[in-house]
Amino acid sequence: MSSWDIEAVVQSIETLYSTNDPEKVKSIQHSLQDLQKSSDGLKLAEILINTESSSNCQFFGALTYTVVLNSSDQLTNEDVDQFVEVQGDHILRLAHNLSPNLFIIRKLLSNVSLAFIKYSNHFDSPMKWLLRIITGAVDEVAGDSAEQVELLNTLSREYLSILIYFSSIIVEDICKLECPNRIHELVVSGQTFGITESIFRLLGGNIPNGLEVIGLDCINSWVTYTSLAEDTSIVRYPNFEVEGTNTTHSVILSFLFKHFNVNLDSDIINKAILVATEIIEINPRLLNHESRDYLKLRMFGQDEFGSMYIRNLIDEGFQEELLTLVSLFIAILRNDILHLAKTVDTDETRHILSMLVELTNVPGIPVEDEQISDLTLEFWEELANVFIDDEETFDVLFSNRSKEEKQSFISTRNSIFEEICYIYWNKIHIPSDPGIFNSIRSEFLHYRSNVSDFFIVIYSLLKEPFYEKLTDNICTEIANRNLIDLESSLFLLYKVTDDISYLESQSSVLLKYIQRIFNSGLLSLISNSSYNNYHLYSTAINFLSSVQFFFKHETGTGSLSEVFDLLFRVLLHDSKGSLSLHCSKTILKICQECREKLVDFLPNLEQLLVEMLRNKDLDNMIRQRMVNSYTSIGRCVRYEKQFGEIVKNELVEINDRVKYTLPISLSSVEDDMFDYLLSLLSCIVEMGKASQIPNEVDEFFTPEQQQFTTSYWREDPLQVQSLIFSIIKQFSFSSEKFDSLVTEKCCLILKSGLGESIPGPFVFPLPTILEYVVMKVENCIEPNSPSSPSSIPFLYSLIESIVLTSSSSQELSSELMTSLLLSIFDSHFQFLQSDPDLIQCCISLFATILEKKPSLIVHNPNFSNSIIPFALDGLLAKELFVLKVTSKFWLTLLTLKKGNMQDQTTVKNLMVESPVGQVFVYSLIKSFINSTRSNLDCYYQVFRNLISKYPTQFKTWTTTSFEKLQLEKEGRTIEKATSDKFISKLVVSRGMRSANDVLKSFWLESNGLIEFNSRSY
Amino acid sequence: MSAPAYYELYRRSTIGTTLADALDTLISDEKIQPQLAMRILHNFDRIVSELLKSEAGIAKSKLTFKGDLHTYRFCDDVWTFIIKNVLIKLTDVSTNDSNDNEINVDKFKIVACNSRKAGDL
Repeated sequence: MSSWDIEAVVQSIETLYSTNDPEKVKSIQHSLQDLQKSSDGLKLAEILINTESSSNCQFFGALTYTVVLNSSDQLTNEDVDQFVEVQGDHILRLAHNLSPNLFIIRKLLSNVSLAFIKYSNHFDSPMKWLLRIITGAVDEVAGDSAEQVELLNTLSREYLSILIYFSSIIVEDICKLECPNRIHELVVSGQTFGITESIFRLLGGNIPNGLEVIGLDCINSWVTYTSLAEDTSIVRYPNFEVEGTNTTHSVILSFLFKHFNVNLDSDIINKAILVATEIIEINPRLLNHESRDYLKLRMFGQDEFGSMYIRNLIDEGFQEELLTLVSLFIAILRNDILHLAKTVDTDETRHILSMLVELTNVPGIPVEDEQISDLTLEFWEELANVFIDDEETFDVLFSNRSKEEKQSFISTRNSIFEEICYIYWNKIHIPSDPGIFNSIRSEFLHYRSNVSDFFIVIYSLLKEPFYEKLTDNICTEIANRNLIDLESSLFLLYKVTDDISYLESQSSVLLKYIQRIFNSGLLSLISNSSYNNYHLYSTAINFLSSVQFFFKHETGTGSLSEVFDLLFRVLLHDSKGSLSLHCSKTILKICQECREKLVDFLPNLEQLLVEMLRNKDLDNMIRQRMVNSYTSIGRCVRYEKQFGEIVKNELVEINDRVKYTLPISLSSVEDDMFDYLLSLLSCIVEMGKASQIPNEVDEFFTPEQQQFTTSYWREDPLQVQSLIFSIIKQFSFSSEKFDSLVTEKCCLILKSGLGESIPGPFVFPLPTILEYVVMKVENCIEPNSPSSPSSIPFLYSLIESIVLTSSSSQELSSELMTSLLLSIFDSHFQFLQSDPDLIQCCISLFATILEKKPSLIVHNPNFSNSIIPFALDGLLAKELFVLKVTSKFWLTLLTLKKGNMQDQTTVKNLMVESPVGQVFVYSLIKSFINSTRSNLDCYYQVFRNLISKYPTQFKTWTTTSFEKLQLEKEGRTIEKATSDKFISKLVVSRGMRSANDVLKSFWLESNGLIEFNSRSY
Repeated sequence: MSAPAYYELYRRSTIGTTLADALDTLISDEKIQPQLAMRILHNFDRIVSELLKSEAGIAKSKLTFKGDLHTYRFCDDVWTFIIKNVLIKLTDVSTNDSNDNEINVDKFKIVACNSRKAGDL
């Protein structure tokens, strides 16, 4: 803007602060910013700040000074002096009417602070400067505190407040902006801290009205600042003083502590509490021993501020303020937690802890009525962990004391935690009012989960007696038929049991307690209670799921029948609800873990299963879980004839259901009916999973059983496998609409027997699986067929699984792979290149083959003719999932870890003797340069292995590649000097980790970008 | 220079890398200056850190795990743990009745930093 009219500018500023039209704001901002940054910026600022009729213009004037300062490259010392002098004049002028002008004054103060940060070499004492201009002192302000206080004493409340604001602004700005570390030393040497201290010394005597809050805010700013200063410089603020002074409490802390007075306004007390909490949490070194002890006494002493203020807050019902105070209590205690733990048996600590226990036990529903117990929970857990983690400290503590003393200490400690546990047990009772519960549901369940974590910690501390107490409570609650208490206790016991049963050695000690619960009639009490008691049922089902170790043991096997009765009754009663889903999960877990003990249940389960297969309304997940449960138990009969019949009967039932439900084609099926049909197919997947041998074959079968099993399934007298295939075929070539979903399930069925070391109902011959794959791929590619191309990835993934599980098998030969790839890959090369998902699945298969058994493909002539070109094209992809597998392919080809000497020679010849190496490096570099930042990780390892594996060829390949790229002139031009430097650096790195940095720097340079991160994790 | 105010850990998340890609595009198209991109990423660091704090009350999922501690180190204020044969339990009270989902993984790496870092407050 070459010329401007001040009236138009004023008008624009007024519009800027009043309009709601974003377009207008944008356009005004744009033109005003141009003006601010122009050579007239300073002149504009001067005019605007003097526009007394408009505060908006005055503020904009102050803001314009900031822009001028920020856009000036390097001001001379005279310019800086003049700049701050101008700011000072305006501050003094506006200070006469402080309140309405405060926001403008703050901006001007911020300008001076910015001048200090930018030009600290010259302007190093901003507070001194302000004090001098405010007091009108002709001489330099003395460094002596007493003289400063004397000078400050002459100032009005308004000027004092400006000084306090300025002190805050300086340190806040230093925290916000990236400043050199020496600025922290200047804060001390330039008297910024000293004058602030003098102000607080003055305020400590008699606080002028209205300065309490800004004084406390100022301390808050300094707390954050001191932490940064101590973190990044040699400056220290022990006891909130500069080093060398050694008083009981610094003047700043004395000012703070003065506000712990119940007669003051609650807002001010609250602010003081927040500041004290900040000090302890951010930089506790600001408090020396005396100050800490003093603070502790004021908070926890009998009839001291803390206890009196709590009473006031509880009486008045001030929840927020109470939470703030409790946070301070916890911060103080946390800071000294080891001492607290060591002295739990002393009167002083007992008094402190009893205060906190009382606060934890504040009446009301957690989340809804009170938040204190949630706040204290973390502290109690931390305290318990001190006893667990620092056990040695306590051993040393009692090494010179009598056994009785130690016992007394432990029993005091235990009784404290038992009391706390009782409080929390009460707190986690589900609120009786469903309206309240539903409104706080997720927060309340979160709270419950936190409480259960605390109980797990307490179990680690109090061990078996604690568990015993929990079970005793449950037995009493069962006897008293107290369902609400029972739910809470059972929930905690379930969580504790679930945690400790991870280790078998720990769970064995719990058997007798679990038995006591079952003997006391838990199951019959639950069975006889109403289904409306959702939480009790849900918790009981979880509990049953956590005690599988008990059912597995001979002590608990007897309870299985009653457990199943209960679980199936709930499941059948509520076949679509969440409780039944939950139940089916527990049944599945029990059946899988205790299958050996459940063989006698098979006939009963069969009847239920048939019902479930026929019931279309049943949740699909439940049906599938039940099939898995039943087959898992069936697998344990260990007599293949019987197992064969079990599997056959299930398949016949499924086949009948399919025939009965499935019309000629799936295409005409409604979506919900398709879900049922797909679930029947999923049931076969579950049968496949459950038919796997659960552990080592030698452990599961005797040699005779192994022999019988092998010959039985080779013969397959019941034609189980052909029945499975017939079902697969009925689905597989039926509808394009549902084809990928169906193919996924069919492939899962065929995968389920892979890797099994002994024949079984789902262990299909390799040629049969491959025949299906070839037929299906052909069908997927054929136009107007019932199969969809989106099914191809599942079929490729099936072959990948075969390679992963059978790479050592003689059956999987290179001839077989060649013929397979000819049918499913070479013949459809172009089609497979047309879609990123298809590219990904093909390259993923090749990478897996190279990883597991490279000889399957590397000697095949089509490897260099079709697979390598396909993988080179993969480098052109932008999709991360394609790049990831492509990078894996090339990495595996370069390293060829599982390759024999012949494989290594073939690949080396291919890379070096043919143009493959050169073409690959060209494609790799091109792809790397054009890659996005998020994809760079895919390239590093490939480059590094290339350098270490082909050190002599690498330089030639890369140099030629850059020359070719130069000729193509695509995208940004890379200078020859740049690429040469890059190549040299890469070669010097010898493929070590440092190559990553070289690559990243080159990528940034080539794309004209910068590094965003300051460090890597 | 002073230390960055917030951890840059979350830049490696999908949302973080995607943001960085988008910023790269804007810089390349000369729509923004690199300095602005840095400011945006600093904001991202701050906002993610703040929202993931328990006080924010947004993250209600809880993850607990058990396994064999294979490696642990504490370097430059960063804890690193590598755990093997891990059973991970995911509790999300916002979606179900505190029924846990379990996942078994062979290897689990945890990088943890102190949430009470100076500039983070």
